[in-house]
Parts: sequence; C-alpha cells; structure tokens
Amino acid sequence: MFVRGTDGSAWSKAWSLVPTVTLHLKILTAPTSFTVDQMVEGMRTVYATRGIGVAVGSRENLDLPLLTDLDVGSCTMGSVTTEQTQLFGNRNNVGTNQVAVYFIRSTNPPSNGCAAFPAGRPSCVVTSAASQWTLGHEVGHVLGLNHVDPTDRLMMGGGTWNITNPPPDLIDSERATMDNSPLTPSI
Amino acid sequence: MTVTMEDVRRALDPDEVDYAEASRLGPEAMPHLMALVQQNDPSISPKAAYLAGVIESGESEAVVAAAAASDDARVRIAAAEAAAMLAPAAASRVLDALVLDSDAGVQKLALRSVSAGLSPDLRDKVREVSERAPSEALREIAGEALRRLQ
Ligand SMILES: [Zn+2]
Repeated sequence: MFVRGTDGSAWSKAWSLVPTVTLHLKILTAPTSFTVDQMVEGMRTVYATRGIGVAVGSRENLDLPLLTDLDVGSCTMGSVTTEQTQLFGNRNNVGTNQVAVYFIRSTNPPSNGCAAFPAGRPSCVVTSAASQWTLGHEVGHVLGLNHVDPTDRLMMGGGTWNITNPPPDLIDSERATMDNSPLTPSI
Repeated sequence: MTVTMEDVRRALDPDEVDYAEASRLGPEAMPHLMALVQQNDPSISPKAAYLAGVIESGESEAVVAAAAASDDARVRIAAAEAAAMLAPAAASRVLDALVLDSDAGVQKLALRSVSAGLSPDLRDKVREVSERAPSEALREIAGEALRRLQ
C-alpha cells in the first residue's frame, strides 16, 4: 500500500481498495418523501461505517407506466413474478455482480420495497413512499442480510421509518456477510 | 384480545409487509385500518387498505371504498388490489369508478381484479377500456378481464 508524499492518486488508489457495491439507478417514478440522492447518501453513510463502499454506476429514467406499480407477489427471495422478470430485464450498463435498483411508484401488495430477484440478476425495488433508509435496507437484503429486532439497526424488521437514533447501524457480523457477497468486489 | 393501533402499526410498518401474518389481527383491526386510510398518507394508507381486503369483515368494503376515493393514486391502487378479495357485489361497487380512473396504474390494477360474477355495468366499462384505452397494453389487460367476465 503506497500512501506517501503529495501524489494524490497514490493516496486515492491505496484507500479505494474497499469492498464496494455498485448500483445502477433506474427511475420509473421519483420518490416523494426523499430524493434518490438523499437515499443514496443515507445508504453511503451507513455502509461507510463498516468500510463498505457504495458506487453509482449509472442512472437513467425508464418510461414504463405499466410496471411502476409492480406485482411482487409474496416478495420471497429467489422467486419473482412475471412483472418483476420484465422489469429486471432492463439492465443497461449493469455489469456482472452489480445491482440494479428500480425506483417505482408502488408494489402490489403495498410495501416500501422488495429485494427478491431472479438468479444472476441482482436487483431490488424501492417505492415512492419509502423512507430514507429503505434503499440501504433493500440492498442489504440483496447482499445477504436478514431482519433483526433492534430498532437502531439498518436491517430492523419493524420498518425503516421507525429507525431510532439515526443513522442506523450495521454490526461486524453483517459487515462480514456483505464482504463475502460476490456483489462487493474490492475496487 | 383487543387489537390496538399499535398492533396494527407493528404489522404494517415493516418495509416488506407479511399480509398473511398481518391478517391474523382479524376484524377487530378494521376501525384502525379505516383511521389509517383516512390519514391519506402514502406510506401507510395503501397498506391499511390492502389489509382491509385480506381480512374478512363486514367492514372491509367501507375501508376499501374510502381508499378508492383518495386523491392519491397510490391509495386508489391499493383499493383496486384489495377489491379482488371482496365479495362480487362489493367488488363491483369499488371497481366501478376505478376501471375508468384517470391514472393508468390504477386502471391496470382495477382490471386485474376483475373476475367472473361481477356486475353487467362493470362489464360495459371494461369493454370500453378494451376498445378505447390509449395504451395498447392497457387495452390488452382489459381484453383479458373481459374474457374472465364472460
Ligand atoms: Zn427487509
């Protein structure tokens, strides 16, 4: 690791070798309680506390009025609906081991988001009524994290609108799970 | 056991709601669901409207109908989804306005909730959408709904 002198690029190279999840933001309907940027910033803040980087690989608007209210069925990991399959086919710029995040108006049935995706197409959806922490929470599921009880944690199962003492926490064992995910290569 | 608003919020606040689990609150949840629908808050009213459809109760239609009258499309969408779980007469009344809603998403979900046994009036409206909707995809969804009605 080279961290010497005034060479800014040496510093930045040395310090950028962190496990990083790369997001591709696909916006069908802009969220109404927080902006997409605020959600990304919230996620970045939380992930940074455990040394996980968050990169935005690309951002595009998708004009898909009949998929912005998306059938997610029971939102079970590994099982997806016809509409999810259709939506997740929109993968411009999304490389292998990168995550596509779709900002939609609503899910059917109503939830704040859903992280179920088909094998080989890591994806999640965040609805327009989501909290500032829903994005980080859903991507947490995509990276292999499960729900927990304490209300000051990102993965709390009681709803991220109810998070206490923000920003919410990730713990070491969660960090290990995220680090082990193929979706967080060191870059 | 008395169901409190706190119980209802605990069931509906999760980022991913488990409606099968939430429905175990039973009909005693209805007054709270009505209150949540009337808040007209996009982060909770759609969830309350949908759960009112999942729980079998004499008050389900009133809660879903209140959601159907919301000025927020997201709340009307939940009403359209919940209508699929109401008895045919109640479903016909709720879907009557929603199949011709000005919002394509509301229309889509209302048409998806159309099933055999609904009113002849509703069938006429579904036919109208299948012939005149500006979106081809929506006309197709209406066409499928029409076939289920016949
Ligand atoms: Zn979750």
